[in-house]
Amino acid sequence: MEALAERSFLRGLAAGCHTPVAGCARADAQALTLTGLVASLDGRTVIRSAVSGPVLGRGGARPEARRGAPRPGCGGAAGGQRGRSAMSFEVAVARPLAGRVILVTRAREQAAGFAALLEEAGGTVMLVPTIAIEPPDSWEPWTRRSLERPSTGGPCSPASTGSRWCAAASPSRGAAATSSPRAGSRRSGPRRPTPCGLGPAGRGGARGIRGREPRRPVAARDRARGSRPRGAGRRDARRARARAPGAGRRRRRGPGVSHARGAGAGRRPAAKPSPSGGSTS
Amino acid sequence: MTFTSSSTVKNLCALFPRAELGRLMDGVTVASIGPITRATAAGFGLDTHVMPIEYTIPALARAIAAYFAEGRS
Repeated sequence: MEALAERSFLRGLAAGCHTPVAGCARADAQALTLTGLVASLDGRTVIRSAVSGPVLGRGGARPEARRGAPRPGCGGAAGGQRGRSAMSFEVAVARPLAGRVILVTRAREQAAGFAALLEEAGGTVMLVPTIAIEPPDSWEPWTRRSLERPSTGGPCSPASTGSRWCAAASPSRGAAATSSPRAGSRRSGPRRPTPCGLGPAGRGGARGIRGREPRRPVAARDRARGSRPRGAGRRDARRARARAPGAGRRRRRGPGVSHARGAGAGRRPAAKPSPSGGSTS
Repeated sequence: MTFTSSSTVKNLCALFPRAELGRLMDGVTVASIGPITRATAAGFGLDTHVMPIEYTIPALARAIAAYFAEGRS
């Protein structure tokens, strides 16, 4: 492992017999530390640096070297010509953020992907989350609103998405996770949203979503049991009937038909003399 | 300093007195994910130097890398 790291270090710097480049790797159970040294040909300038990271197994040295601190010898070595050009190329092209410290203010749960991208570009990332995502103090307003006022015309109202209930995900994403009632099969079951609230990081501390299993909204729990959502009364049943295939077909026959029927019930004698009059509206 | 939402701007800026914030952020490159966040930062007196065309995290990371790849600081 150590020899592998040293060899790949020398290869990475295009070191040969005539360039004073040295690498020394030491591995223990957790981490591999690689100390590198580049010297000028006359020995007057010596640059020494070290990186360390978790042991990832074979081939792990390179991604680690790319990630952590600046690569050994990156600070403009006065060493061999080949090594120097290889390094400056890497600094300029692959690691534009080398030597930069980048502060990430995202919520801790969300920061990992962003941080990885920045580190890939050579940056040193500091996480300073100014948002904490955590469950609200009470689910009551969420469940009540989604069940009792389902058609209030919001961005996730049933009218716009065909959903029976909705739950807001992180407001910082500006999106709402919705679940279609028709996607209720086990295979493509409703994606479980993780409703959450927002607050300054200082308040909740480590109380993130990750640390705690979010309670499922009432609607999701009841659907899982195969029953109608709690609190779904006559109004919901009516809505369900209206959505039923039969209802759709009847409606598609057009208002003319239902109008004729209604009129016929009340004024049958009057409609009899001219039977064609009632159904042509 | 990266801001990925208006909330991150507000919450960070709430941590410091306005004058101190200006002093601390002097010379710091500010990257905002989009125009809303940029406007919020401007409201706190912070100029945004980097903003991606597409308002996503990967695009923001690319924009930051591109900004420094061009040799600015």
